[in-house]
Amino acid sequence: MGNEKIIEVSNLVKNFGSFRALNKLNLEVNKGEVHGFLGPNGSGKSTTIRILLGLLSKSGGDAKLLGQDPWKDAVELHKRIAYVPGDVNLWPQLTGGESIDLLGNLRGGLDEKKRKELLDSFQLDPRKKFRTYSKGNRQKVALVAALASDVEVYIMDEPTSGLDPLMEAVFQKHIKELKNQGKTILLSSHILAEVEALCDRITIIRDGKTVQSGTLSELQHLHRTSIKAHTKDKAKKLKAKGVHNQRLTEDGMKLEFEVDSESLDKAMAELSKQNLVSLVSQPPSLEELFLSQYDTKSKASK
Amino acid sequence: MNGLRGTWHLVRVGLRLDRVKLPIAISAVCLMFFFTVSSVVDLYGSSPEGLINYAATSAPSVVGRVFAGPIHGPELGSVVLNEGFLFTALAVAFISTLTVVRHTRQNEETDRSELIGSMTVSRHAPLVAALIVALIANIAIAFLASVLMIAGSGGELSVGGSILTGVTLGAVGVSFASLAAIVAQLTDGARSANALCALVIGVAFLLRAIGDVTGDLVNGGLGVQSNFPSWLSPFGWGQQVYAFTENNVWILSLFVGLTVVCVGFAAFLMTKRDIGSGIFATKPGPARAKPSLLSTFGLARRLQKGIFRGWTAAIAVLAISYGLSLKEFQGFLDDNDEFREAISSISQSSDDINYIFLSVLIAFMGITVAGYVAQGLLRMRSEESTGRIESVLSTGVSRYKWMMSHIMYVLLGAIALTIVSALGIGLTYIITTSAPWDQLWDIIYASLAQITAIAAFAGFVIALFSFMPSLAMPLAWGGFASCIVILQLGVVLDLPQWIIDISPFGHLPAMPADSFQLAPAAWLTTAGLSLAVLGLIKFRRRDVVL
Repeated sequence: MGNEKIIEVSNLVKNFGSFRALNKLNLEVNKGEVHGFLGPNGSGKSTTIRILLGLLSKSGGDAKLLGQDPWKDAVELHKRIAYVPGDVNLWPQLTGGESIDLLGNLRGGLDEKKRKELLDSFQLDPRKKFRTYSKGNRQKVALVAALASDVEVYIMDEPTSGLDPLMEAVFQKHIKELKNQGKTILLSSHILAEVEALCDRITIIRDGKTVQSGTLSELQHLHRTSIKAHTKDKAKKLKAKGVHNQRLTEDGMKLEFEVDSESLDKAMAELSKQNLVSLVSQPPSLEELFLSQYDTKSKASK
Repeated sequence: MNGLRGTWHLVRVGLRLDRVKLPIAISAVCLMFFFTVSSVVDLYGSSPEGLINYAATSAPSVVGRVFAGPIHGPELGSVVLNEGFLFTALAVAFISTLTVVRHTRQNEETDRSELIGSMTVSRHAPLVAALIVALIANIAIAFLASVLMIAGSGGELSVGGSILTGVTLGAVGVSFASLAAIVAQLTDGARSANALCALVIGVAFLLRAIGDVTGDLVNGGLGVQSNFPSWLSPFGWGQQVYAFTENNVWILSLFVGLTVVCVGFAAFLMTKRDIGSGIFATKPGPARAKPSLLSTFGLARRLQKGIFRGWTAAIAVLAISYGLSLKEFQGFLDDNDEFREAISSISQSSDDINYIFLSVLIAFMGITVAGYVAQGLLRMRSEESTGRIESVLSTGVSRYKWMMSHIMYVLLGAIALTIVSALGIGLTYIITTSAPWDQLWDIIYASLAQITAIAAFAGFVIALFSFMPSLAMPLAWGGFASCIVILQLGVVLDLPQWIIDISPFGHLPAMPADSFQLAPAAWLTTAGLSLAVLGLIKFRRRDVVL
């Protein structure tokens, strides 16, 4: 994986009147990676994406896309990117097929073979008027239009929130294909299984600020592992630092706790002195990671 | 009653959803009716000669018969109905059909009815509930219109006749509500259902217009006996009731009959279709776009086409009726010296009364075209506020190109509509009055001169779109309404010049009576152009505002 930066956002600020939507946000996306862009509703994901698309101007900081200024060089840049909006709103009187052709052509041309393949795999009827499509089918229209164009960067704002699990799988298949071709993808999503399956690195933002960024394992490393230990004799609680939330079962033969990554060593050493029968350890899931980011932070900010 | 389970619950939901919309619409319509009634009573209440004059001009007039209806005779009640009934009935018809469509197809479209359908509600309940909401609305209209008519006439009109008029208005509304119930079963969505309802209303209006125009003069030339097509339309029935004079109460049974038949048929159709679909299945559209769509201008043309066609039809009808009115205007002038003088003062150089009157009509047509310009240019704003613009601007389309494609289409459209209006007025005027054909050129020149003022107005709307996007719609339409009011009052009153100067149309000479002046034309064009350029520059520099 090269280290060429496709997206470089540093200290990005965006104000809407007196409301600060982005407060020194940072985001870096390397060439050829699928980058998960996570954050609760209203945290500023869509605002960041709109600035990267040149639809909104920034109030401060720096934003670069493919090394260029997305505000000044918008038109030139747009020929090299494809965008799937979160709320797909196209013209009610055009059919899905017409919309796909139109958007593809405005972007500079469609891959005919790809178009057909995508329509088939997403099972989308292109002859229906846009207003008669369901939410999922509207998203499919935008997805086909974006995925059928041959560009360097794909920016997707919650592209699968209306898709069923079958179509989610189709979507993942196509994203992996793009990744194999060396394309770069910025994927904003709430579907954690999707992020876990696709993303090389993720950035978590909250209240317009970046709170975490890195590969999934890097982030998991920063978090607590949960441990369940069975002992032959009655278990004793651990004294090591960094061990949290210790729970003994009623019979006293089982101990459950969470431990910080950096204290894992000491905790295990202490635990091994007890007569272990079995040990189950679980790395934090993305969901726990995600929840802990919002939960602790929101408690802290209150 | 099991077949209608849940209806009352849905009626309550419907009334709650409409708790603001319906009261505003109903009171607006009834207040307009009240003002018409009271101003007619003020004007003619104590003037039998005035009533005779009115009836003598209205009865033979084609324009009068089409847009007001078949006057009964020189009675105060008949004149009030002639002035106020038809347009009130038209508004009531629209309120009724929109209500029914809103509570049937629109619910289905927004998936609300699936939620409702999954509750313990019977299949027919939503339709019956929508009809009951419409019925309640029309009872309110009947009551309010009767009361306001009694109040507005200040005792000059009989109470019984006023109540009969109110009830007739409500009955017209209920008939159209039941027609809408059928229409709602036919189409595939709320949009097409509303369009089809408008067509039904249009046909009903047209049928009675034909019946009235081809009717005979009666009552010594002071009344009209409609021909049979008037009896094919609920609007026609409403007018044949002739409250205050003939009081044909039996006609109300026609409304009841129509309503029963329509509701029964609609209920039958409802069992023949699935939720979310129509009896007419949606035809699948093209799977591929035509090459003509595949560009920024191609998209603008597709989005603007419908607006342009609608205004073309409206402007053609308006222009032809203006053209027709010139002949009647001549007759009117012959016995009204005061009006003759007022009209003459509009022109500075000419005393050709026909040309002076034409100049007023042409100015009105110019402002009407400005209405098209407002709607066409504001399409940019609706593209923006719905977020559709994001999908376009995130492709390789520049903001400048996107905006220019809409502006160019609307500008060309405005020129085309100006020519349509000139030909509409000119041809009907020349044919009906046997005026010399070279006058057509004068009318075309005068109309084309309006384009300079239209350009200034267009610049105003473009600048609004760029500088105040979220206020652009109300301000643009407010500007349009001000132009109309200023011109209308300018003809009647002696307005101070600075007020007239607010409207770009106030700067133009009264062509074809007066001759073309270069200075105002150049100023208006420059103003329009500069505002447009400023707007283009600003839009490149501002955020997209959803």
